[in-house]
Amino acid sequence: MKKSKKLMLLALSVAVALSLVFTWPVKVSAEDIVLTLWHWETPPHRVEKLDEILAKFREETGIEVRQNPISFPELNSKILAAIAANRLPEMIWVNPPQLMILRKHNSLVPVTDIFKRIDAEVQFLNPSIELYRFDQEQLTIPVYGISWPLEYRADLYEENGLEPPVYWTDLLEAAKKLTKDLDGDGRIDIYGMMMPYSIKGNYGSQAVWGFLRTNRANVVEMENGKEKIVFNSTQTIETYKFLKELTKYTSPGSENMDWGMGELQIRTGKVATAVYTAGFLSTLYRKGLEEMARKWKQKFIPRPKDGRIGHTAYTRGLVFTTTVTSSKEREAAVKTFVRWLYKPENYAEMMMMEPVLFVPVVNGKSMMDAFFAKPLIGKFRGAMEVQIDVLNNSSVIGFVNGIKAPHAAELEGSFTLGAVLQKIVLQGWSVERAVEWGQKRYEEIIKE
Amino acid sequence: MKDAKTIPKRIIFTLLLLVVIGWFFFPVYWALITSFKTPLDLMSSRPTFFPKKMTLSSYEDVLLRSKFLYYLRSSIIIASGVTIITLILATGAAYSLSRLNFKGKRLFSNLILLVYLFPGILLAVPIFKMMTKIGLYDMLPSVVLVHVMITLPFCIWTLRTFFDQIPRSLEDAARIDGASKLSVLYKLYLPLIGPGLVTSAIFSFVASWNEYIFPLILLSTPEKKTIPVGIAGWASSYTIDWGQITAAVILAIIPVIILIQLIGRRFVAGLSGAIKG
Amino acid sequence: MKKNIAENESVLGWILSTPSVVWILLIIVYPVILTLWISLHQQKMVEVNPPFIGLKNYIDLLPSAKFLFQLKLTVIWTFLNIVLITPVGVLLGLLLNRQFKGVGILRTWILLSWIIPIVATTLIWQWMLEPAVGIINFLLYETGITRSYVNFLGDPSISMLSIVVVNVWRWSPFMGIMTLAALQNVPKEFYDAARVDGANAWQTFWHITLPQIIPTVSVTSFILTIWLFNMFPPIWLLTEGGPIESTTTLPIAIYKEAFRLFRMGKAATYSIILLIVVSAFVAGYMMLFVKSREEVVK
Repeated sequence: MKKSKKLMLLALSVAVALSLVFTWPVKVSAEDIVLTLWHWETPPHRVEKLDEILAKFREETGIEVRQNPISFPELNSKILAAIAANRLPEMIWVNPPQLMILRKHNSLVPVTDIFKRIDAEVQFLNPSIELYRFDQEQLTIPVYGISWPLEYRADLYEENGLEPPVYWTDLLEAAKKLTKDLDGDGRIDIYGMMMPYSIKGNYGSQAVWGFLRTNRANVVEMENGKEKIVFNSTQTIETYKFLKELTKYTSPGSENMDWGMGELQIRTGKVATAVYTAGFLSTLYRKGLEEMARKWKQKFIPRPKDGRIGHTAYTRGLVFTTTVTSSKEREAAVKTFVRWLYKPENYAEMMMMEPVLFVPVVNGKSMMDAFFAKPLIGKFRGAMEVQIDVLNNSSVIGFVNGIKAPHAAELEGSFTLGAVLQKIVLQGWSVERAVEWGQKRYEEIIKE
Repeated sequence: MKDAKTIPKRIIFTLLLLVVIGWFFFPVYWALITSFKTPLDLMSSRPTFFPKKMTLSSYEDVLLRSKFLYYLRSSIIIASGVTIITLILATGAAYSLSRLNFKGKRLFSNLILLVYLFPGILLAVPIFKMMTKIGLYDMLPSVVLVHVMITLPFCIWTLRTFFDQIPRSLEDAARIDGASKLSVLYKLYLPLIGPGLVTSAIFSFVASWNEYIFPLILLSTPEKKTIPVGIAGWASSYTIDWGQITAAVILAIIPVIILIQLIGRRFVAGLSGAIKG
Repeated sequence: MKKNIAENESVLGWILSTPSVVWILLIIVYPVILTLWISLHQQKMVEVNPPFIGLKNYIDLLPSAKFLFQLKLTVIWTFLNIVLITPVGVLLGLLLNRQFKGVGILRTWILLSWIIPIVATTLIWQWMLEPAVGIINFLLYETGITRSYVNFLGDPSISMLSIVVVNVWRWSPFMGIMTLAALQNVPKEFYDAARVDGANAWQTFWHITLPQIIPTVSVTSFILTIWLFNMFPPIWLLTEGGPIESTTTLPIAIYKEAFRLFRMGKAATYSIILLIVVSAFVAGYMMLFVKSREEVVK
């Protein structure tokens, strides 16, 4: 009895193992041109969507494009390893920091010609073009944007007689008023604001950067072709003084918050206001929680009374690496692919990889019509429009006012902005001292 | 008299056991119920311990809408390869280090520890370069090659302590009977170091199963990726789908548990037989 | 003739151990030499022909307060882990060696914490330890143990301890089955003989069980210590070295230098120093324990 049971278990597991090993052979077709595209949109449904799009492209043109989704934290190391071994894929979707890495190693081919042709048809948004233009050469074709507006719970604001915040003072008041102990047990149940002051991932630093920009503060400028750190300024100090007040009403866990934990607090209704992408709305909707999604509305990040609209947002760009030029056929195939991708229907479909998270970076009427015709996008039209506005008013460290700081990737990657806020809140440093520390740290980075 | 002494003992023992079970299994239990929870439950600010409504939708997502089964396949191939190669190489090396006298023995046993002295994260770029040079980039064997390097030193050191503990007199007796050294290794020692082999096998399999820097760097085709690389990707963006991740975790446990059950039972049984005989 | 080769201890020893040694050295030696070379240069990213700067990286790094602090954290991390994992693991092994109902199942399933990919376990722990929505704070509060939330990972004074606890959860079952394997290797005759001699439970444990498991336990904790010095994933995935610098051990610092700031030269220098530190530990261990053990075996 026992022995037969054991045998059956053995046979079963062997069968499972064998079927796993032999049933899904990975196809390799040698004669066709195979192009590879690296990106970091790793969640399964995004990969599945892109697979559909690539399959459609193959059907129409016979060219195969393979995607390789790489989780974001490891993207830099993978790109560096590929550069060192001369094994880059033909195409990569990059952020400005990755672009700076690739550019530094002369691994890119300018895309100016094809960019111009596509731009004439789709009219890319200006900030998305500026970001990637180097000495009149265009290095990327903008693909999509990610932007982080102010998210707020419209229902809670209304219940408490609050208007959506426009200025810093409004936000502070709202944060104070909405931080509440609902059941009277002495513990706060909902927090007025989620203001991360973390150095885990870039959430903390991104959120700080948005507020800095509303007060015209900056990190780096170019002077005579050299970088100059301008972080230690009255604008910066003012902003951190405000953030220090704001963090009094921030939700617990802000010290170590990354994007994932932030989303968790938003979804479980622990916070009333946050700087976050509206992408979570479509997740809520997809999971049958439309009601919750309806409660969240979007606005610009509040600014000081004499401030300006400032934001952080990224445009991801498609780059061609030097691998493209290895043969004429390859080059032609890559160009065919890109032209095809920017047809209105295909582009709108690509934005569906993560609806509401992906912000289109085009302006052309037929493009936008195709985009808003997608059912989910139509549902969250308001959120989408705010995110596009945000993208148009945003900047990235090292890329302010048309400059391209050579150390942009390192300046961003040091997460100094979040670290400065930690010094102030966790270690009790004076704002002036912490900002000076940040200035020194940035200066040390551009030295090497 | 005897009862009075054993009852408090048993209570302490049971309590200890409960603490152990609670401490080690709670996170796994948490993952298990999360994988069955409905999205509404997952959004609730009051966590539920026994979900009233269960759903299989997370499992459907993992099995039907992701490349999980491909990941599973790569992981099984790589981890099995690593385990088999490690066991063969480690047994030979451990036997010779423990039982044979030859020049350079000390140096050998210390040299292999070099692997662990070095922070693995910095190995990624040079190893990537090496693998592309020998044409193994994006091939499963490249990961096997690297993982064996990681598992070997530990297995050699462990197996060596197991060899050390077997009384020499046993071997001498067999040698008098005219058995050669290799057949002594095969027929006498292997059954005796059974528990050591089992733990080495489990160690190699699990170490390779969980390691994620090298498959990530060395493999490119999505269908060749391993489970940890896949799961890491699902978690690295603005939307963490807890149901999906926990479902994948639960599914990924199954093959390993089957393996441990199979080899664990067999060797433990074989061992007590050998001692008696 | 053939038989002679197989009978010659020297030749057989070489034949059996060379494959392992070659395998390991083939893969590891090039990266180590390359790293040593890079540490003498001002290497940014992977650019070719970086400027040679001799020992400047070492001179900059070694006396800096930041480095010494990170080294201290690394030692604390390793020490806390090993003094917790070893006894917990050994106790677990002893527990699992007893006969009781369900022990067979427990022996397999206890390994779960170590089987589940670390990227997943840390994610689940991060969620459970989360102050606002995490289950642990929820339980602590509902049972009245705490009146407000405990910020396990966000409070710099306990963040290191929290990661250590997660790591102990992960690694002690491993130590447990190593102990269990050693216990099962103890020949039954030993216990029979002890019983005949009238030894009590404690004497049996002290004179028979303990000497039999010590070699395995000490080798495992020795190698585990080396791993702990270089351990990267749990800390990185839970805090990335924060908040402030409270969990920035040397491997975390190396990763940040290499892939956030792209100062490969500095990262390589860090690695070489870490290599030397761990080697010193290994040498110390060898002198203290291995020699004496070999004498005993002889």
